[in-house]
Amino acid sequence: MIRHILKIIWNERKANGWIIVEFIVVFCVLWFCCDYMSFIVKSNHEPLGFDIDHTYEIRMSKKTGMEPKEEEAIDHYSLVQTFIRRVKQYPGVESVSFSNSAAPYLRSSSSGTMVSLPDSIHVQTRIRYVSSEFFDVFKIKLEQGRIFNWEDNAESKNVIVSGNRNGHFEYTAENNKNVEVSGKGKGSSERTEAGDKKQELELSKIRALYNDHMKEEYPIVGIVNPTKEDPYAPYLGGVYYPLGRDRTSLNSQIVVRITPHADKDFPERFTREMRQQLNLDPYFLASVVSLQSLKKDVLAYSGITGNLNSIYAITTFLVINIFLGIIGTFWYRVQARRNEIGTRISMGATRKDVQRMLFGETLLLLFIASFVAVNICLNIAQTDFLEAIGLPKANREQIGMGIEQDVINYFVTYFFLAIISLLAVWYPTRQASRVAPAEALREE
Amino acid sequence: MYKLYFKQAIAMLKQNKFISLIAILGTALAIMMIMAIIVSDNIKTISIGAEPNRYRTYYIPTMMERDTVQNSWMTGTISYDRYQGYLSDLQTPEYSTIMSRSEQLVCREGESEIHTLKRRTTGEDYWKIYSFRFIEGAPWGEEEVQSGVKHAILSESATRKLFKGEKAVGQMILINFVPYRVTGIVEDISEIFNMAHADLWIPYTSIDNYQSWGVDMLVLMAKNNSDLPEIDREVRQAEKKYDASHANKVLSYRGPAKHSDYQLSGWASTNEDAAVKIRVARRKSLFIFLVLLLVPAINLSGLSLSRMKRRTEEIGVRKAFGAKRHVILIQVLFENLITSLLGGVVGLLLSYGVIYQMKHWLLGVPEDSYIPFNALVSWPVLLSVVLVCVLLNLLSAGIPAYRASCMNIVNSLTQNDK
Repeated sequence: MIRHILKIIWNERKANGWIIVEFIVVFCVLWFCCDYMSFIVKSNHEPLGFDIDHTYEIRMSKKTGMEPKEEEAIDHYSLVQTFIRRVKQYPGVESVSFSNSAAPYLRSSSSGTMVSLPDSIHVQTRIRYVSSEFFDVFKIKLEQGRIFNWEDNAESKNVIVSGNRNGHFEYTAENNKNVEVSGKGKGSSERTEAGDKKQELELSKIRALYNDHMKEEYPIVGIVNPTKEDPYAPYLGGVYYPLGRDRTSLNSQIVVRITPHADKDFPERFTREMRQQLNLDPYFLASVVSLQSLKKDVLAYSGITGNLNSIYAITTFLVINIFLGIIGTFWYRVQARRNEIGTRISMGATRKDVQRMLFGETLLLLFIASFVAVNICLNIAQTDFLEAIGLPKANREQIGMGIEQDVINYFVTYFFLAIISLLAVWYPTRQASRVAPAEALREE
Repeated sequence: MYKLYFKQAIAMLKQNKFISLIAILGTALAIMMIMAIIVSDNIKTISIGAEPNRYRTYYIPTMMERDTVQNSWMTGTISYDRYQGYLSDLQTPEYSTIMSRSEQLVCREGESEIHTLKRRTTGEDYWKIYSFRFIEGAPWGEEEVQSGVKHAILSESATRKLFKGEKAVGQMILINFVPYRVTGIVEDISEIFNMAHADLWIPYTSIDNYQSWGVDMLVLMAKNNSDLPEIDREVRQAEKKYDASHANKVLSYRGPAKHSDYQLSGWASTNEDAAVKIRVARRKSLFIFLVLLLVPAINLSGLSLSRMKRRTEEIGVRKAFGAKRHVILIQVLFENLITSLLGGVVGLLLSYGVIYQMKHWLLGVPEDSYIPFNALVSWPVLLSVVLVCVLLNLLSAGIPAYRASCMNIVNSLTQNDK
């Protein structure tokens, strides 16, 4: 059967050439769309580490034009205490956190190098300053040890850490040239693109972290779950310092978690009812924004939303084109092959048989095209072509996508195109199978 | 003769309605996608409405300062002290102003209802570079900027929000709790003019300690658009002047960047950085255009070839009676052009719909903003839709037309073209 169809395809090679070329181009573009979409879907599927449902940022502003003397006289810490007391009394508020460069989607982050003790390995980590309720607000899970107590401990040096996707700290040999890296206590190592080895360090093996700048040691009291800044960012190791008294003010990031049933119209309600109470001179309530809406802004700003829109647009465009192309070509083909089809039917082929033959022809054409296209795609993926023309590319390393992704891409693209093609070829085949044999044969 | 071709083309379209529909739809779809990109690009760069001088406006948005001793560098918006005395007295531009935009809390004096409004701080030349219609009052001049007087100009919609129909000019408002007097009201402008748009404007000198704040952007308007090299030379001189008076420092301003280049490059700290971004952006558009043109062209080529096959006899007869090759070629191309133009008109209209529906994504403006008519329909747009149609036509009918013109008379008369 397949050989027979191949023969037919070869006989019609002139018209089929166009369809195959079109299939190849469309297949290649959809392949890369599929690659990127897999990255997006997979990334979305992995937990962020922060739970941002029912959380709101409360932004306080400071009056401008103050004298330096007035400025100095402000007791920031007691204002913060008053703020927390008043906000917690508001119905529905579960917890209030203060932080600096810590909360996700607030567009502020910092990182630094710490030395792990006792191994003396330099590790690059995210640095976050948080009050202890930060872990309640974002429902960050404690995996080992305990959370520091902010109010009593604000001056103490206890820290909490989180790891990468394996719950480890990462370091490169590049940063540790003068440290002898023994095999003991190290996790698996993998080669990165740059060629320098990225190695991992188990968190439970670290007793404390040492800050070279401050010349201070920070004992680790707890380990929490890994987090990432946004769904498409990598999991990075992080250190949570207690937010010191001197750093705490109403200028810090303030995030509240509320109960789900209090979520309806929370920003408007809260602003209206709390405006007066939160007028803590010189600060005043500026705005209340849900973290979900901030997330939208961040993703739009980072270009992810635009990328997705472009992919939807180009996929729709290509799908419609391939649909029209196949409908048109096969419509002509069925017209041209009326005698052949008539002969087949008069020789005892059922309508189903004729339909099946045309369906088979389409799928085989797609298969031939896919074979060529897949080779093109795999070769393009090896080069910097996508980066050079500024098209979005899946970050395969970050999410751990390997060769199996190529197989997934192939099958998803093939089946997607197959469904579209079969839908397109359905109308012409219906016409073909309705050919009345006597009439078709007489045409000759 | 062309009238005859036209009649024949229409007759053929009617003869095979199904295939004609497919061909027109395919063309329309391609034109829609391409025109959506071209039109939104055009909206971002055309010199009309509130920004009538885009073609001769140049921006200096950021700077980079390198410390040659510590081998460290700092990038960001231009600080005031790197503007004053260096870029503040450029000779070539006709007008220049610094400006910053931010969201501020604004309320009417004595009222508790607070609104978040977009505030622009500018110099006096701002009102000459951009075009606003004043409903009441007048723009501020050099004197007001020199004195740092706290005067504010409101947009019509901001006035409505704050004063709810009451008389606004002469009244006091609080911007971030600092009192300002309203001295003018301007008509609202569309947000597609993103360099000019704001809800309220104040002189940049009216902010306390304005010298310690950064400047979002320096805007220069040249007398005409051939002055760019001269302005560029002056800016490079300003850098040298700064370096000469600051030991171990190398300052480089990003720009002066053309409006269209600035739209492409977005945030970039140096000119090299911006050039790379612009190159990548251009390559990207070229690639996208290529896909958007080629895929439908392959499609339509396939269709046209099949159609040509059915007309072999007709072409054979015409050739037998002395029609030359190029006559057949032109006829086929012309017939196809009618399909393309029909698709083009439908596509252009559809692209307006697309832009209107997706303006947040394509233009970066809020969903509820409006787009002025003359930004959508302009000569460059109409010209490019015709160009795209002709290009698509050549790509899709070129090969079939060539094949048809090369047919052997005997073969085509006997329907034996294999």
